[in-house]
Amino acid sequence: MLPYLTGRLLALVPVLLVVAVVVFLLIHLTPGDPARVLLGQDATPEQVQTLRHALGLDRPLVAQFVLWLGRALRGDLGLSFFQHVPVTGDILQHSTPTIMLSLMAISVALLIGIPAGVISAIFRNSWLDQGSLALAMLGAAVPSFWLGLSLIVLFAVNLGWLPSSGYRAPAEGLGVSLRYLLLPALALGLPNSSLIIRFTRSSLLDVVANDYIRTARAKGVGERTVIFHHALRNALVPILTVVGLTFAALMGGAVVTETVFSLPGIGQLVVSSVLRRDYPVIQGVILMVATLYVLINLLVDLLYFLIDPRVKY
Amino acid sequence: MRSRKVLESALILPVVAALAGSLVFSTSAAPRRGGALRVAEIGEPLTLDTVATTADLTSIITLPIFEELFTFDAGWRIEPLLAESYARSPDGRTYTFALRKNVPFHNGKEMTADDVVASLERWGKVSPRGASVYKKVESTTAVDKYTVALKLKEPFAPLLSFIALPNGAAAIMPKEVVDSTGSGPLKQYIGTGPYKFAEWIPDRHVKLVRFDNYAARPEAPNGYAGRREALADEVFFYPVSQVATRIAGVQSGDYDLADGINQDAYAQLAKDPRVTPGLIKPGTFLTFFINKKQGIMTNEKLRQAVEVALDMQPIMKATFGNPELYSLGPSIYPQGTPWYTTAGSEMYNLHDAARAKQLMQEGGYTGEPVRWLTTQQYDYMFKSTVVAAAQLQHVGFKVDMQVLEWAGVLDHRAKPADYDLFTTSHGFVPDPALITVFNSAYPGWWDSPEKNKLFDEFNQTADPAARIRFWPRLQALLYTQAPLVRPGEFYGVVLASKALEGFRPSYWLIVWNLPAVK
Repeated sequence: MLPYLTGRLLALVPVLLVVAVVVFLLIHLTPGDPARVLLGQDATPEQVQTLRHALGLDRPLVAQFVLWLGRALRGDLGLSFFQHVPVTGDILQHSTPTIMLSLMAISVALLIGIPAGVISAIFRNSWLDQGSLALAMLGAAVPSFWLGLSLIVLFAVNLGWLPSSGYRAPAEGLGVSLRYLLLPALALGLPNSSLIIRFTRSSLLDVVANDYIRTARAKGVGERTVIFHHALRNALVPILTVVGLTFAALMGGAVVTETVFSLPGIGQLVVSSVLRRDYPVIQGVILMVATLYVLINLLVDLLYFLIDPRVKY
Repeated sequence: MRSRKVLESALILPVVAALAGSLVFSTSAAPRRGGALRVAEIGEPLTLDTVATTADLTSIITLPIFEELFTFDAGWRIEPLLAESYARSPDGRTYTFALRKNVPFHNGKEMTADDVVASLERWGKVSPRGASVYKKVESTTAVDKYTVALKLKEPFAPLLSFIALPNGAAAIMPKEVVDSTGSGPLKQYIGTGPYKFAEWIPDRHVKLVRFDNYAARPEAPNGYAGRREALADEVFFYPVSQVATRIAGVQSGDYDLADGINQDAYAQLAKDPRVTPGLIKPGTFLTFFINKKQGIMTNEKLRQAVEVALDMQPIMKATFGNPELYSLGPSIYPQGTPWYTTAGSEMYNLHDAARAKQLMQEGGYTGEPVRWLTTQQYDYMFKSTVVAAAQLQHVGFKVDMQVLEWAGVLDHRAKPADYDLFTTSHGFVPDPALITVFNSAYPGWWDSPEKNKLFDEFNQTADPAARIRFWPRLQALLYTQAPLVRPGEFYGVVLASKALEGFRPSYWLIVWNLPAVK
């Protein structure tokens, strides 16, 4: 097990190196100059040059990359051009809303997805099943942008139950923080529940068709125990894959939801830093997201090991 | 019992009197202090260094923090702010500014001539506005503790307008802050304004708090001039990039003000009982800048062909919709301002295809692509370009419309080999000398000998009345040489909560003299 884990962790290094080089080249070769964006339309060429020099942008590309890499290996991702804070701190600060939103959204998705999927499987082809599948299809089809705005109009503007947008840090009160994240979590969780509903349903149906389930029933084991203790546990593996991938995607930052609800999360950070060419932030964030993807995949693989005794590393 | 009744009436009387008294006092003029103003802005500011950038968002957020020597009143006339008075030498080359005394900075230090000199010199280096002024400046000196002398190489009549503009601003800050900043952007925001900078949490908010020792001017408020009072304890600027979310936030009471509302929402919001949309006048004008340094448009006949071919009404209507939100007309400045003139109107909005084709022939157009830069990041830039490009195709131009990100447009428009036209807008500026097209270094590069001669003469005419009479000649030249085409002007929309009392839309948002919502 340990060699397996070490091997997987070491594989991070070449992945991140490739990502870093590709991102660096992409952003430097794309037209657009952070100095000109920062100074605005009317800046003179001399002023732009002065700022470029101050930001180190007039050095040769290789020199800039090597300098950045050297600092990055020591944990220093540099200073944001625009937000006057260190990139590491910036990313961490933006991670909190994204982590909280992702956890809430995945909870919503699971709370809707798993029960709906189980009911669908147990009452296959009944109206409950059809209804559940229709819900899944609706969730997959509805644009999250529209869903978010509709939730705002209904719950914030018309009913006044929840705030319309914005974010409050947990330090200002966990309850307050969760209130601001409830609508975005719904907007994000609902569409993501669709895949979970379908995977739970099909996975459970596959498992229930097996002989050992027939044996358990023949032995007289109660239906509830058959489903929840025997069947569901075995059905979990594919469901877990979906949940893991969904969570990784959520952690990458749900840009649309964050923009609609004005949440200062990672997705929003990536988009705005790309638009204004904040090179250090772009590189830092993409590196972080890549790392997260690899680690979450690793975590999911390790969870298989815990759930399925047949899996050995 | 009798004694109890007496006791009761003895108690009731003073209570009633107190209530009556408080009623009288509460209807008196004292404005309500306290609370927080919450403003939803179009996004995160790129910087808070209001000297180094002309981004309006930065100007808006820092307007309560920094002050300049002069400012503008509601009619865009110059009024003193940090200066007490000024004198100009008869040859127009030396300005002497007498500073107000006992004006504290947010760090407690008193503003003196040394601070003003340092701030002006930094402005001359890092501000696009300041740099164009300081090309003509010989020296800036502190004559004594409260007097500054600015010597010019030649008379420059718009000097005070440049100094007063809170955009690319000659913001006055302590000498120590200027010295420690060096060549990069500001990292400390210390001014003299009614609010001081408290914190900037990226992507969450910029927070300002009342500056208790603010030295207000005595005159009644008039535009940006006169008395500024910090009524709200705090002001929050939130970056809310989705306009629908900004609107919903004001409707639900989460924000008091929302900036940058899309024009097509105006009619519907006017009917909403929870909110009040306001139009920001004077407007911003739409511009199609033409490259005069390189490419086919260096030929004046072809530029005139573009000017003559365009039909402004469809361009403006398609872009802005509601006719309340835009206006056509050849005058760059609206009626009511001293700079209103119809000079050059014989070349405005002709939509004459025959004449355009004639000009194209005279200009020797043989089907070369006309490269036009625009962006979808600013909706109005995209829409107006689409319509105008179609109109040009109609008269026979081959238009190559290149839709880029705004950062890409900024990049390419600085390179003469890359384009022929680009779309942008131009904010209202209190003095025509501030219009970017007159600056030969600005993309488009209008550098003709006629323009340079007229523009220099315009700026050296010290007498304000004579200058106003001179302006039509410049506007006429603009229509003849067509360095840009100006279809018309449009008005920004700002949304206020109905619960917010006393709010007036202004070109850059004014948050002082404004009580917070109860």
